[in-house]
Amino acid sequence: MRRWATGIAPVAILSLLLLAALAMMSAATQNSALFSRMYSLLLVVNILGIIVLLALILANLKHLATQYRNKVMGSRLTLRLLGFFVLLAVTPVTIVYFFSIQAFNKGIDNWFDVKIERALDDALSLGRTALDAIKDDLSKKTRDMAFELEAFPDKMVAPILDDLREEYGVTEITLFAQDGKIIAASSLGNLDSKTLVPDRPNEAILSQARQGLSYATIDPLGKSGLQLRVVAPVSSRDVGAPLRILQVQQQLPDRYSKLGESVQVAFAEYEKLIYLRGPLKFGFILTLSLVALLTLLIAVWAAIYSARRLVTPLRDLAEGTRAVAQGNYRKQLPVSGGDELGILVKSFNDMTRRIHRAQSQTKHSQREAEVQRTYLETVLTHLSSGVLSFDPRARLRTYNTSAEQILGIGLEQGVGRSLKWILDRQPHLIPFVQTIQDTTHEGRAEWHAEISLEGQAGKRTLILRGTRLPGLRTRHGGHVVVFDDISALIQAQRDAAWSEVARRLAHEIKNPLTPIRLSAERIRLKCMDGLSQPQQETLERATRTIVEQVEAMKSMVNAFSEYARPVQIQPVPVDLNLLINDVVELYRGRQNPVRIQLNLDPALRPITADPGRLRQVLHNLLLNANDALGAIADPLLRINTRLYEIEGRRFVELETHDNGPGFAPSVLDHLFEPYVTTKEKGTGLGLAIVKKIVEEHSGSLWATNPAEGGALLVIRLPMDAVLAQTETPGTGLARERSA
Amino acid sequence: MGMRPHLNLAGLLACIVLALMTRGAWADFVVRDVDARFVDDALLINTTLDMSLSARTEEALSKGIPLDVLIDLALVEHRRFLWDRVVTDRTLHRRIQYHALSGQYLVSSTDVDADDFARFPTAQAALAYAGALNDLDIPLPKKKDIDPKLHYWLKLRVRLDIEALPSPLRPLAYVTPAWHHNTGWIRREVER
Repeated sequence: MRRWATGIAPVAILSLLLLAALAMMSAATQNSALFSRMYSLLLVVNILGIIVLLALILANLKHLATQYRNKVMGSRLTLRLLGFFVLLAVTPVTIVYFFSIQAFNKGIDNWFDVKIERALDDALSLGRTALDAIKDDLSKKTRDMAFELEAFPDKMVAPILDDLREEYGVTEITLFAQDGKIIAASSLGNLDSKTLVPDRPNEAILSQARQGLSYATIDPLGKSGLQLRVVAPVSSRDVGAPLRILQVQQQLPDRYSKLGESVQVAFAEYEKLIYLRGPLKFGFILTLSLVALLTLLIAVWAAIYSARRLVTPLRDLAEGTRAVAQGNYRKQLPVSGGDELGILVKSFNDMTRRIHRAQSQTKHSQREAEVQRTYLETVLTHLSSGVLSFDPRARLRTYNTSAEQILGIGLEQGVGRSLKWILDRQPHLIPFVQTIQDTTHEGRAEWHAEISLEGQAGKRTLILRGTRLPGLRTRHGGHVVVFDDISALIQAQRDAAWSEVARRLAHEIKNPLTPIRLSAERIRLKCMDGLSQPQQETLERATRTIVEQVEAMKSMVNAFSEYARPVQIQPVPVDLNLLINDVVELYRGRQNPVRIQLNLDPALRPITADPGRLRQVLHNLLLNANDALGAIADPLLRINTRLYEIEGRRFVELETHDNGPGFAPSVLDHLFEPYVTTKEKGTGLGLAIVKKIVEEHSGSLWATNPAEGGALLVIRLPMDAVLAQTETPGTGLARERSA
Repeated sequence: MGMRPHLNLAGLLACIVLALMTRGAWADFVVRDVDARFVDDALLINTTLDMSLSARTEEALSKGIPLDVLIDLALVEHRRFLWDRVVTDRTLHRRIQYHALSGQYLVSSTDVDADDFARFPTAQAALAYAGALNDLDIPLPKKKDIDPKLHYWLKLRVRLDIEALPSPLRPLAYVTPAWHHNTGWIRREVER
């Protein structure tokens, strides 16, 4: 419907039809026989057509106004062009219209001339005067004939009438009775052939005659010309006889008739024309107004169409550029034609096509890069090595989870910041940061370094490898640093070595011990009897010493065996606080000078562990503390437990803190290694076993001398431990290192 | 609220003026004494049509504009449950024109012969003649079309044919009440 209303074809057809109707109407106004009968219909058709056209235009204007109000792209320009076109069209049409009206009025007025009118009036008067003379003559003749007829009765008048007609040279004579009935008639044979009945005067004429008055008139006969008619009363000479009426008709000669009719027609036409002057003007002005209105409407319609046609590609272009600005590069515009606008639209389409292609390629590259990045990220995430990359200004760019775990710091906030940010949060990472800063500053393409970190979790060894990244053009693209915590590896190597030592000791030393002891006892048994008392005592002392030392060595070897024994833990839920209480009770029960102070976290929940092994850990720690506090005046051992969480993982921490002299600095670095002891009788395996058991439970431990004095040993066990599988001592190490 | 009585009054006055303009102020055609009866196979009509012209139409007539009067006649059968059936209809044409040379008004029946006309010295006489339908005989198509049990009506309308006027005059005639001479349809029962 909208397309119908806005299309050019329907309106063009309507306009042509209306113009044709107007042409026919114009012809009808000029009394064209062809269109005269259709005049009213044409007028109605034209008015209706113009109303339809007007409605279409109004609908279009309303549509444009709505678009303008809604600030639709292009509506402003369309309205401006429309106004311009309408002004161009309306002005000449209006001027032509007004001048045409003037010309019409003057032209029609010029048709009429006073002289002609008077001449026609005079001609008519002349004609009437001439006819009146003939009429008067016929009236006289009629009266004479009536006088002659007075003497003849009805029965005798027929031949008299013939005679009179011939005598007076008239066309027809009829004698009527008083009541109007025909008494007799005489006429030329060729006259009134249609009816054969004489033409009867109407009642008014008869009535006039009955009153004794004559009546004379000129009768038009249509195509037959004019005829004179005189009606006169015929009195009777007999007293009492009724009045009769005589009608005499005489056809005027052809020449008179034609001249008379000619004057009549000319006069009548001119009179009619004068009368129709007003309506004719009205008709012409109406036709002209309709033509002007139709022309105006067609012009307005053409203006709307042209403006819309001109603006459409511009509006499309504006919408297209807006779409492109909003990122829609697929926008293609309809090409309207081969003119400059069409070329512009084609160029726009080419441009968007190319941009779209380029954008698609960019997107594809981005997707590929994203895939690569995801791949790299996945690899990095699952890499056990920590990876950090830095931009050319040494600001952190990427990192992986292992890096966070190894460094014990969340690095998400540190992206885009310098290494100082890490240092501010983890001051113990000074060697790590310093090494990276130094090497990057030196600008080495590749470097390798090994550093030691002292942290809460004890001493750790990291191995770092750095590589300079390739950059754009000549600038370098930053650095990537890959690092591993090799503390566990070193420890594992050390543990493996010690396990080997222990195994050898057990094998090489334990075996000869029994023969040595047996031999010593046998020597005492065999040689005792033959010796003197002092000698016996000496022997007795010597053999006892041998036996004791052998026993001591045996126990030492057993301890080593225990240390080297494969992991055989049986995990069950264990309440650590309860276990501590049980074990501590044993030490309180003895006459132990050491005061034990417990500070156990009630929020602690059972952990999965081997209670027997943990009991051994507690025994070893308590024994160690007892030994260490032997020379102290008021020995105090504080045992604390607490629950805490690091990065979503929960741990149980067990602290033993005494008020003794603390660990000797010389042994602090190797405290948990076998054979490291400051005690005279110590095997140096107590803390090594503790460490072994803790690691079997995937825990960690470290020892420090805190500032307030004494020795502090911390054991950290995971709440939901992934327990170390049964392994040989050399490999039975915790695989995970918590922060 | 205050405007409403004024509006009503204005509307009433407008109606009155319009009624006066269309009816009272202008002479009009009136149908008098209609007598319609069936005689044998025909419908016999006797009526007098009082055709008075308005000053404007009379002036036009005197200035040589021929006036055509149409007399529409229709015989309709009255049906109780259906609309009326037209048994037969006819339109009579009467033309009245002024003959300046003879000073007579000519009345012709365009149905018969335009040259066969009656002549009258005055317009009134001519109109009276044109309006006198004496013993007008309209033959019925078939005798069986007339059912003695049913009622039949004669519908009659007399009007000035504006379409027969010269074309420049027609638009004005259509919009000017003085040119509207029309009795409208009049119904009279046909006697047997």
